[in-house]
Order: sequence, then structure tokens, then C-alpha cells
Amino acid sequence: MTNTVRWKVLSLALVFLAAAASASAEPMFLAKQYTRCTACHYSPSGGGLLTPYGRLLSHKELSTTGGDAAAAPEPGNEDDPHGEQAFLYGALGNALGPVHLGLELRPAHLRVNFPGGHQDQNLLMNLDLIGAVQKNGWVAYATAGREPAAHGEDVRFISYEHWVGYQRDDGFGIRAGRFLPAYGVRFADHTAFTRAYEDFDHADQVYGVEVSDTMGPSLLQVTLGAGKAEAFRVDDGQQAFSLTGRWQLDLTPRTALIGSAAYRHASDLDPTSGLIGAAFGFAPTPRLSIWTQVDASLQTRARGGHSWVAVNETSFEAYRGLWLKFSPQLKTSGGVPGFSELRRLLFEADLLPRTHWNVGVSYYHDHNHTFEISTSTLLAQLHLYL
Amino acid sequence: MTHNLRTSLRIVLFVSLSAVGIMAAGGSWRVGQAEVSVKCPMTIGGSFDASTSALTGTLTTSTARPSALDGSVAVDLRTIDTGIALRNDHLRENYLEVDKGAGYDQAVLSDIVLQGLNADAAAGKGSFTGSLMLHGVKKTVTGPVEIRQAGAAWRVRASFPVNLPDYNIDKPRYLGVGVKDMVQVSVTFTATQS
Repeated sequence: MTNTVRWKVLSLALVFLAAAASASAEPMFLAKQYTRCTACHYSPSGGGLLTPYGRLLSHKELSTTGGDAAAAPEPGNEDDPHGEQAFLYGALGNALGPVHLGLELRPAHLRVNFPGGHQDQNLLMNLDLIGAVQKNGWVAYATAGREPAAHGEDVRFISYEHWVGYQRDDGFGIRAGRFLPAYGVRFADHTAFTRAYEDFDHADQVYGVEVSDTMGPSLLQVTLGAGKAEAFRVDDGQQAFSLTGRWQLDLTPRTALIGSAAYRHASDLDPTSGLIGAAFGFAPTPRLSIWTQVDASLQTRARGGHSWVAVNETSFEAYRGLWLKFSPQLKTSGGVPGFSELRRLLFEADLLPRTHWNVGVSYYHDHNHTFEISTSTLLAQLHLYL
Repeated sequence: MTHNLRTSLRIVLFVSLSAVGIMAAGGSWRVGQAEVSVKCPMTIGGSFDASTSALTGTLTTSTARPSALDGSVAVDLRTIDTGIALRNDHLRENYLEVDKGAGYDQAVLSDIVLQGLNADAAAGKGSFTGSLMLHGVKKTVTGPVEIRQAGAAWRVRASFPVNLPDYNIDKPRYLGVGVKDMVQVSVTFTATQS
């Protein structure tokens, strides 16, 4: 195996060694008639801290052992921080006032098999404290935690997101700060090709302003970014203006169509680039959801050319709180020399036995079609959401 | 009177009498297989469907007004399902208040009048008005209706908006998530001669 090939193989594996995003959005809940991230998350682009409604839903409706016996706050007790679904099981009572907190930890075991060997690693993918205050349409939101050591770097403090937003009753919303721009479907797995290869990975937030508007069954989100937040921090030459747009049309409560586009101005290191794509999700039954996203990546310079990324994620609730996922993924540059065609098959089982902890086991089979190299990765993670 | 006009009048008369023979002669029509779906837009965007198949009733063509239907159709509100158990509980107990008193566990549509269609020759598209009794309040509703013949039965599809405050239904709100005031009801059923 040449050094170049070995590096590419290890690069694939190292994708998993990077930190995971904080609490993930779950597009599979389209099957439960939830087409919008904001049903359960504070963030309009999904992921992160769950709202009290989202926490309650995870307890009463999604957990294997939640269900009818679980106590739920009465209507009107909007901020009642009691019950199993509350922060630290409601141990702090009303002490935090209007502040909602979540503590997320994700210890994991990773095994990567590559030609000629394998690598095992235990790692703490997340350790983040997330807080939000919501009042009269305003939301202030911030995360604080550690970024795990990767690529030989030291563990360091990071705030993946911090922003202030305002949402009017008529559907107009605005937020400013550090956040991940809305684009396509935010798959829970940050290594999904539409995230990892399109700069929507765990640390690809921008400093910017997002304007959104809900018009009947449509949602329009436009983000103007001054550049990647991490580029501001380390001045790595990747600082560049960006513009992202996302339009979602809910055809039915279980069917959604999404169109997205992104423009990134040239930085010192990267050429001007653009993305355009479409996604379609439908849930033919209350236990099955199927999402497919296809994106075309455009670059103005000859280097890089065009590439296509396609991701399908099919999720099936085999038993209450047990979701099985299958996800074929493809990234191709149409045979342009120097750019690999990557194919992935992902099998995943997510068990949600109780509100505050989930278990996920994922098996990835990645194949670099250009170099005819395959790797397989087994990721087992315990997701604690306190 | 031209030949064409005379011919047209004969056809209209024949069709009308035939239709009367089909629908009015038997008198009443019973609701069979049905699906009622209420599309509920949420305050945070998106929507969900609340649905039931528990629709019953009998409709009779009115002898006084050809476009009117006597009788009523009723939905059993205790069977409405939103796909989420807690949401079902809140919908039935806190907002529709199905245990509050007599009649609260049903939504009843009566005094139906077809427009753009004749009850005696109903196949086609038109609109309707009716009186909806819901949550102890009776209000007029109106919307499009489509009626098709399906063998010996008739397939009926109708929809109409319902403004929840008009029926003294509290604004559904829970932990910051709610349903907007205006919901859209869609009803599909087959009617067979009884």
C-alpha cells in the first residue's frame, strides 16, 4: 500500500475519531408526523438541546419504557422542570428559573478495520453543557464543552453554538451568532456524506445571521455567514463569506420536500464553491421513514470540478424505542482524475430504553472505488442526555 | 325551439328522472367505510393529522328541497388518533372534552345542502353547506364536495375548515407547542342504500 493510499484509508477512519455533534436531530421522526426540527429542538436547524416538549416526547412516546404510566406536566405548566424528562431528573426543581439545561456525554468504543490491520479506541465523543432561555419569542442558546483530542491535538474548550434568536407568531424568525447553517436534511450522523463532505460537520458552524419564515406548509431559511467560526478562532486561511438557503415544503404531515443551495466565497486556501441539492422524505407508515438527499457540489476552478453526493437513510421502528437504520451513501466526481469515488453502507441500531440514555451500534462499510480499498468501522456508543 | 335544444331538454329530463329513480326512490343512504382526517397546523410549523374511521349516519334526499339531504353523519371523537398517545389524551380530554356532557363525544354534521350538484343526480363536483355540532356549539360549515359512483354505492369526498375558537375550544397549547386556530377536516366515505 502506498503512503498516499494509506493516508486516504486512515483519513476515512479518522472521520470517526473527530468529535460528534451535540445531541442529534432525528429526521426519522418524520414517521411520527414531525417534519420540523423546532418541534423538539431549540435550534431551527436541528440538533442540540431539546425543548421541554422534545424531552417529554422522548420520554412518553419514544422511549421503550416510557409510555402511558409516565407522569406528564398538566397543560399550562409550561416550564415545569419536574419529572423524569427534566434536567437531572428534575433534581434542581425550579432553582434554575427560566434556564433550561442539558448535559450530554457520549462515551464510545470504535473499531476500524483497514487493509492490513485495525485500530481500537475508547473515546468520549461529547462532554457538553447546553443551556437555553426562551421567553416571549426570544431564545438565547449556548453550549460549552470539550473538544476531544484528534489528530494529535490537545483536548480544548469549545462552544459549538451560541446564538440569540427571535421567533414571531406569524412565522418570521431571526437569529445571530454561531450555529450550523440550515441545509438539506441534518442527519444525526455527522459523518454522513452530505454533512462530512459538504462542510456541515460537527465543527462547521458559521458566525452569521439567519432569517427564516414559515408560510403555511413552507419554511424558508437563509443564512448569511461571515465565515466558519473555527476559522475566526485559529485563522487557518479558510475564512470566507457564505450564503446558504433552504426551503422546505411539507406536502403532508409525513412527506416533505427540501431544496437547498449554498455559496462559499473563495478563501486563502479554498476556491469559490457552491452546493445545490434536493431532499425528499416520506413516511409510508408510523414506523417507517425514508429520506433521500442528492447534492451537486460546484467549484469554479478546474481543481475539484463537480461532484455528486447522495445519501439515503431508511429508518424502521422494529419495536417501540428500537430503530433500525440502513443508509447507502455515494460520493462521486464522475471519474475526474485525482478524486475518489466513495461508497458507504451503514447499518445502525438505536435503542432508546429511557429518556436520559440511548445506546447506538453502527457498522460502516466504506469502499473507495477508485483505489479499490475497503474499511469497516464498528461504533458503539452510550448517549447520556441528562 | 330548435331541434338541438329540444334534444337537450329531453336528455336532462331523462337523466334527472333516472337519478331520482336511483337515489330518491330508495330514500336513505347509509354511511359505510369512512375516513375522517383533521389536518392540524402547528404553531411551530408543520402539521399533523388526527384521524378516525368511526363515522356513522344515514342521509336521505329531501322531498322538500332536491339539493338538501336530511339526516346526519356523526364522528366518534373518542376514537380520533393523532399517532401520539399523550396528544390523543390532551385532544380528547382537555380540548374536545369528550366527557363533559351529552353530545361532547361526537361531532355531528346535519342540514346538508349541496350546491352545484343535485342530490338526485349527485355524481360530480360541487360544494356543500351544513351545520356542524361540535363541543356543544352548532355552526355552519361549507366546503367542496365530490361524489362518484362506485358500483352500487356512492363515494363521497368533502372537506371544510373549522375555526376552533368558534366552538369554544381552548387553544391547544402544551409546553410551548400548539395547534393553530384553523384546522382542515377531510371526510371520505361510501354511502350504500339502506
